[in-house]
Amino acid sequence: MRLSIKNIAFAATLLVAPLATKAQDFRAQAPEAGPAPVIDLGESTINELPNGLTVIVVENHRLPKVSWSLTFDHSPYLEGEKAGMLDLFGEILTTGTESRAKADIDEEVDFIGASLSGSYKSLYASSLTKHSDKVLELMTDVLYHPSFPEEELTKNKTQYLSGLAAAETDPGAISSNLISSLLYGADHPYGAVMTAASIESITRQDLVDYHSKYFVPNAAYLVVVGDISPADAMRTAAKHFGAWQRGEVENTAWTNPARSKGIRVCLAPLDGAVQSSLKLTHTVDLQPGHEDAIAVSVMNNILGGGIFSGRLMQNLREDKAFTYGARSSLSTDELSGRFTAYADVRNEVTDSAVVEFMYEIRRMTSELVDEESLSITKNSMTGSFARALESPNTVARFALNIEKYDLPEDYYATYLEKLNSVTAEDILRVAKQYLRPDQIYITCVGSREVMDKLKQFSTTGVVELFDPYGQPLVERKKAPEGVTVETVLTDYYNARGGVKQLKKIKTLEKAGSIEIGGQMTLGYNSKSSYKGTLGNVTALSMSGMEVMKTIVNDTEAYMEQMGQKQQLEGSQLVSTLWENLSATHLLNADQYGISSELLGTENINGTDYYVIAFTHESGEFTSTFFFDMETGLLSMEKGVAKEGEEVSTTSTTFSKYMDVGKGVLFPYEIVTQAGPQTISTRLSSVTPGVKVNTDLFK
Amino acid sequence: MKSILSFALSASLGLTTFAQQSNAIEFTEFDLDNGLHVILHEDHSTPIVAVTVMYHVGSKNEDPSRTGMAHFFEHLLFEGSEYIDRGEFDTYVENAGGVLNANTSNDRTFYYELLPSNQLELGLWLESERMLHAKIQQIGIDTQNEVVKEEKRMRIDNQPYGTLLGETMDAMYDVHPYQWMPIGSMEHLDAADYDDFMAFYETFYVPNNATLSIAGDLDIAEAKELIKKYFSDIPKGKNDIPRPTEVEPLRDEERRSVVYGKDKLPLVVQAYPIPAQGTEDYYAVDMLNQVLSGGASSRLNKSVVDEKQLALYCGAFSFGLEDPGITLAYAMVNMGSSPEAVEEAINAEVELLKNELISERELQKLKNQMEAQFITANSSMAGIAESLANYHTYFGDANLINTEIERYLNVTAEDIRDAAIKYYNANSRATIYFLHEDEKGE
Repeated sequence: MRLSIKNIAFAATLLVAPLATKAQDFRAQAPEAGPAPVIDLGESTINELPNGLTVIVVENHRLPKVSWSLTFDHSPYLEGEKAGMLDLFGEILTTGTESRAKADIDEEVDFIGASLSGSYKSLYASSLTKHSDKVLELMTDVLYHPSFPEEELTKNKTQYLSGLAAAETDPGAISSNLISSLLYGADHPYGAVMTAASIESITRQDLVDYHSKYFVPNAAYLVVVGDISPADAMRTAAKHFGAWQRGEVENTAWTNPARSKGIRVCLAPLDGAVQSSLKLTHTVDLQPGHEDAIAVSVMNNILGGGIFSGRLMQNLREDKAFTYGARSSLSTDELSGRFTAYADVRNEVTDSAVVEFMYEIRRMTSELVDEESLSITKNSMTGSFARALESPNTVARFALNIEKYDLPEDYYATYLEKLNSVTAEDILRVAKQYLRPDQIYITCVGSREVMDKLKQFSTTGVVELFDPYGQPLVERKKAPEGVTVETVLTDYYNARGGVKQLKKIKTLEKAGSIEIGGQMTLGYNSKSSYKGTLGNVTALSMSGMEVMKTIVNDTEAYMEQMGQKQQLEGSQLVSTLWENLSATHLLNADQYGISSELLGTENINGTDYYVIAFTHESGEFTSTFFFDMETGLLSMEKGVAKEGEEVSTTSTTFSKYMDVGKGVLFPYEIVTQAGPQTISTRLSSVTPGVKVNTDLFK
Repeated sequence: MKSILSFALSASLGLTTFAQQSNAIEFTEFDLDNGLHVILHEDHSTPIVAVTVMYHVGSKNEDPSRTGMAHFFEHLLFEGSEYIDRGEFDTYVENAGGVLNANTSNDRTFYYELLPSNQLELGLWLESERMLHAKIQQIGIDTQNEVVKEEKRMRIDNQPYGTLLGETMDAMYDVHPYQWMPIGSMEHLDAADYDDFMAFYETFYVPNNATLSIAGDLDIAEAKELIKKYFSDIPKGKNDIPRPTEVEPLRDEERRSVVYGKDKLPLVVQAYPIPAQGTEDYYAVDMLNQVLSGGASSRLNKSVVDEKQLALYCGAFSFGLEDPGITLAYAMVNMGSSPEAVEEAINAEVELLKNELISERELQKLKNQMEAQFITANSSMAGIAESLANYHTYFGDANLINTEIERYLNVTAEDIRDAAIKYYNANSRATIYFLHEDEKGE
């Protein structure tokens, strides 16, 4: 039976094509809907106290209850090395005041069957109407005179540490750590990951400072909901919150990290897991109330929302039975929103599930959605909007959002109208703009057995491993007896034709192309002299025109671009000289003040590597080299360089080693990942013994 | 939606009187000739309606060689019917702007649709199709078999302490079917065939074993007509509806066991047998649990978590069931403490309740907490419809939605002490430690 739907807001009149058979049975067709009911958005009242506290009141007498909820509004706070501080603040806020111990507060709250809870950005109290005065007395005591008892802090820290131990096996907690680290990192307020060390470092003073800085009325909203008239609520608010002193709140403008260059596959191994907890995610730049927000929400609902009708649910559960549930979410946020598609699937179908996820996400960005899905989704969202109004808290939330995000006064009043005007073309446009299947993180918490099968999805072919705290997992073993830096390097150069053959190379020319950031491709030409006058000149060109040049001679190195010269200095100069003046430079490290150490062996995606770190005496750079234990060849180099406070990391892979004559091998493909930037060098020729004009090195 | 209230601090200090409305939930109920019990609650404050059907069948009605059947059947009944194509159940509801779902417990299976109120008839049509016309097909059986296995992996195998309740029930019951959980055995589900499903459907999914409970923006007279239209011609069941008769004997020796898993922190569970829900003693036990773990000032939270810091958290609750159920106390052991120390501390609190009456103020606190919980429970149409169905199904008295609170408020300090003495008996309990697999010795 097919349905065609005449889509009128809430009415959703079903026009069912009559069935030829069994038309006599009234059950053979779905009943028609009655006339659309009227949706009443409810009333809210708003006012401001002289100290800047905005008060929003929603009157509703269904139950004899009133709730009082303070929301603090300031830019996200960076916990940094004190990750967990904000959560601890919330735990301890209600555990003591200057005149009440925790046991007193607990007993007084429980005695009236009330609730009182806090977080770093809210304080909430609710009770039966008859206990309002008492609960407000407790709430404001906590608000004005919290004592942040030292023993409560110690106790909660111990509990958090215990909790951390439990979280190490909790797929949800691991997944959340992994995603925070990948999307935002430690320097962003959304990237904080709690560790034992971060919890240990939190002091009572941190909490006291935070409270005095951010718990001020002029950066807060008081939302009163329930069995109380607006006039009475305002009077009560003035009585309990009127004397609260204003304060200064500084708001920080944070910068969001760039998105991933390609698709990264990140696995946090969980031994013994019977399911893979998959989350495909990327950041989304979408403000609450943005004009695209409703279309984006419809788009996400078609993909992974709804009850069972979302494409992910239909595909992964109803069709393939990979999972109990597959969904997606797309959040708006003032700083950084997020798209996540997720499901818990059994180990054997982990890769198949990723295929279907990627298929469905890409399909959203490339095909118009059918009218039927669009109608279902709009109807479903209309219904969900109306159902939410059953709770007076929804009306309060709407009013609060309008204030907080500075939305038009009629934003929610016209919501259904806007929702129903969304077209299939709008959906395709916003899907293209906001979904980034080629810059997505495929994260998985699960058994290691799924690792090999996930490689195919990664742009670099690598499955990165992470610990339960979202940090890269390094599992290194001791190198076997008898293996040293010298033997590894000798094996390496032997694999490339032998030190002797390599040392015979007097000059070398490398030509090919270099691709920067997936958009720009330039010509690449590098000429080196390893005997007599030492030096290297590397030129990049666009349509035959030289656009950039680096020049290295035995004492200096510089870059030249559009007639501008930039000298390299310090450790940057040292590393450049080291790398460019010899065909066997890894053997010359000590001449440049660079020490080497064999760190051991590491298995990455099924391949074993010897790992050697080269570190400059200044400590300003360390390069870690990974040599394939089977072939002896260099596969990867990971560099960390410091310039003042700035730390930059690069990761370079070397592949496609080819014979350039006399059994001497050079890598023809070199891909460097520097932050979000990918630079791929692909050589077309490597020629030893060409004539090189050494004047070019000056 | 918003009006600006002109407000002056000094002005209008007049008194406001709250219209203290009665919070009684009014409802109408009747039986159809085929035995279907119908309960209607009318409330026009939001244009929505909750259409629910409760079948009096749960995992306790299962054949011991077909455990998991009731829950599996719940999944199957979303697969389609005579007039609803496979997968279209959901589509109809979503199209109408509604939501639907279902759940299965040890005692009953509950289906619901929450719809815009002009779609009441749609909800009735869908539920009547489910009761009259279920279509069991191999493709649905195969798909839902995998889905249920995933549900088990997600909810039980892959969850921290996911086997807690299953292990506890297994330790507490030897003869009564409460010994297995609604999720059941995957082997049993693999073995079930078409005939098993049809037999289950014909026995349990009959009007005389169901309660249709509807709450929301409806007109009682109109709703009655529609209900008759869709449900009155559904034939009454022909089979006897089997109910378990097994009585779990009281034990005379404590059962202790250790379960090893991948969860890092030890967890201690102590379970005691208690009478069936609805009995006088059941309410006393429920209040006793409230003394132990209701709110931050409760005894376990105050003593074991806050003061002694032996546990990360503690809980005590009755697993209220139609046949005699269990009450359990559990605690996640804090770092630096031990399961033995936690067990001892919990037992000390229980012993105290056997020896000393709780104070007048503590009793008043329990009553205030119960009153607040009770009032809050009736805040949504879906909640009201389910409560009405529950009270009717288990006790044959839907009005308990208004009066059950009195049973709690009638509990005295002596009742709580007596319940502690009578039911918190070390010999009849089961104690289970959930430990990390590394703790497992040779």
